[in-house]
Amino acid sequence: MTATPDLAAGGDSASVQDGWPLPRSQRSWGPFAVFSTSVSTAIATWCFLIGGFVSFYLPAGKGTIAIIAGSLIGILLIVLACLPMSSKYGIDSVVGSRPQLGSRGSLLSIALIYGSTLGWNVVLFILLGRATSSVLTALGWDTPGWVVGAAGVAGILFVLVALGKGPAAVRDLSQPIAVAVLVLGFIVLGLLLWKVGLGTLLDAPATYPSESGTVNWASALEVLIASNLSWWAYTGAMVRNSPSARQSLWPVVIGLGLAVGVGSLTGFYAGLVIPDSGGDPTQFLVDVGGPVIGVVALLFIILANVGTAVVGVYAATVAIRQVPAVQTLSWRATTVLAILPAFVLVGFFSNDVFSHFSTFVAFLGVCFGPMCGIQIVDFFVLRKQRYDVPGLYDLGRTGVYRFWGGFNPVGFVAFLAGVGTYIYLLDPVSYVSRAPFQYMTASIPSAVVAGLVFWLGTVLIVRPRRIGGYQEPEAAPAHTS
Amino acid sequence: MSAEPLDPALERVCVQMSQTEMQGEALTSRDYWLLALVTIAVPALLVLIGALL
Repeated sequence: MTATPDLAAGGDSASVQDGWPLPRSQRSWGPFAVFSTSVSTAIATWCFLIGGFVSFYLPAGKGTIAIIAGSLIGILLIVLACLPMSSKYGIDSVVGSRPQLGSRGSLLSIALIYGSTLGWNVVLFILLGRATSSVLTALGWDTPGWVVGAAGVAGILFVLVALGKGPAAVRDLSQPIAVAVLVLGFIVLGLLLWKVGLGTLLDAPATYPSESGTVNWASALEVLIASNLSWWAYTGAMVRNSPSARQSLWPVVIGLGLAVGVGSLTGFYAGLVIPDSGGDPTQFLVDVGGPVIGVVALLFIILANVGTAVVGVYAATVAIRQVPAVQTLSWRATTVLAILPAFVLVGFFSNDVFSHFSTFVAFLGVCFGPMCGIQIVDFFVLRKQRYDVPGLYDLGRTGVYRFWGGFNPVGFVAFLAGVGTYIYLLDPVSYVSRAPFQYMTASIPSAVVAGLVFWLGTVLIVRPRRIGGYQEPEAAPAHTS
Repeated sequence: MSAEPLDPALERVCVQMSQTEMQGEALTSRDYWLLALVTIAVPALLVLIGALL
């Protein structure tokens, strides 16, 4: 969600900052570096909301199992789509999408990364505003509704000032924040258990369950799968710094996949025993912990969210700086551009946006599920794990991955097929599902359909025209009788 | 995303990356099997256990 793995990377600045392929000899990350960066990417206060979302569907025992299972399933798609490719060639996710979408079509990847980072940033700023409002209320002030938006906008301005000094401002922020949020999670969990007792938690029913048990299971799994799919934006940028995919495999599975599941459990339990909170600790910390502990914890949430948002806005800025028209702007102007929509969403629509957190989670599944499916099929099945490295960076007319005018229509049609599949199975706004969602979730079928359409289109349309760097299958040897 | 010729330094790196020894170490088939066990079989088992609760 928000990480700047490249900032800490070894290697020369061109490889790191410009996204050039990173040769094995320049990769300095060991398994611990990959793991700690993964954890710091995954763990932030949004985990409370992810867990709170699951409390709509399942009670404590089943929900705990679904959260762990969903986080493991979700990371499978990310590992297969990103790890072998990025680790082999030392490239990030955007560059790695050029063989599927085209040299210019990879702008779609930039748009998806920008959309996901912006969305998580907006969530952080609204949480910051809600925490501020709760602190003021606890101090006896009358806090009207606009305080949430105003405090969120103040947070954005603070982040802009902090980032005005350039990328160095965010160095080393994310890891201590992740550790602190984990500690906060344990404190909140302890407070909850102390207040309501383990028995109450275990007996608490799901807050808004469907009538169908299988739909509840699939919905809970889908929340974690879709949340994990947003790691698509970051996994490539992290694992390209490690000399070995083998060394990165389990740090990514545990540090990105399982960590978000474990980090979501406190929000999940809170959502069950304090149903109106939706897992959001800003709504119950003062009641549960008392005014002193509650206010201290809320102030900590404000600080943690500012820190995480600094990193998140940096990530969004880096994403849109890959667009040619934006590269001519100054760093400060790009930062303002990157966060501009957040001003509007946080300042004027904070309640509406916050109440549609589920739609944002679905957006992650809608977009990144098909991308994973397409990349997995292309890298493993169609290209036999081989890319043309110079072609990844050749954006001219003779580039291997130029396809038609820089775009591969097959990639876009496959992506849309995956998006359509997801929306058919699970309405991202209403969360009304259709069969066979209850048996398959929505992200997995959308990835499968996108991959199948991509394979079909490539075999039938692209490969016969000898474009896109695909090798025609060797003709079978002639048999003589 | 300009259509300019490749930077000579970038071109050198790209040529380097085409050599196996400059590429990252790949996953082995054992890694893939373990990955399938942890991210497919274990979740499937967990869901089965959860359904019995």
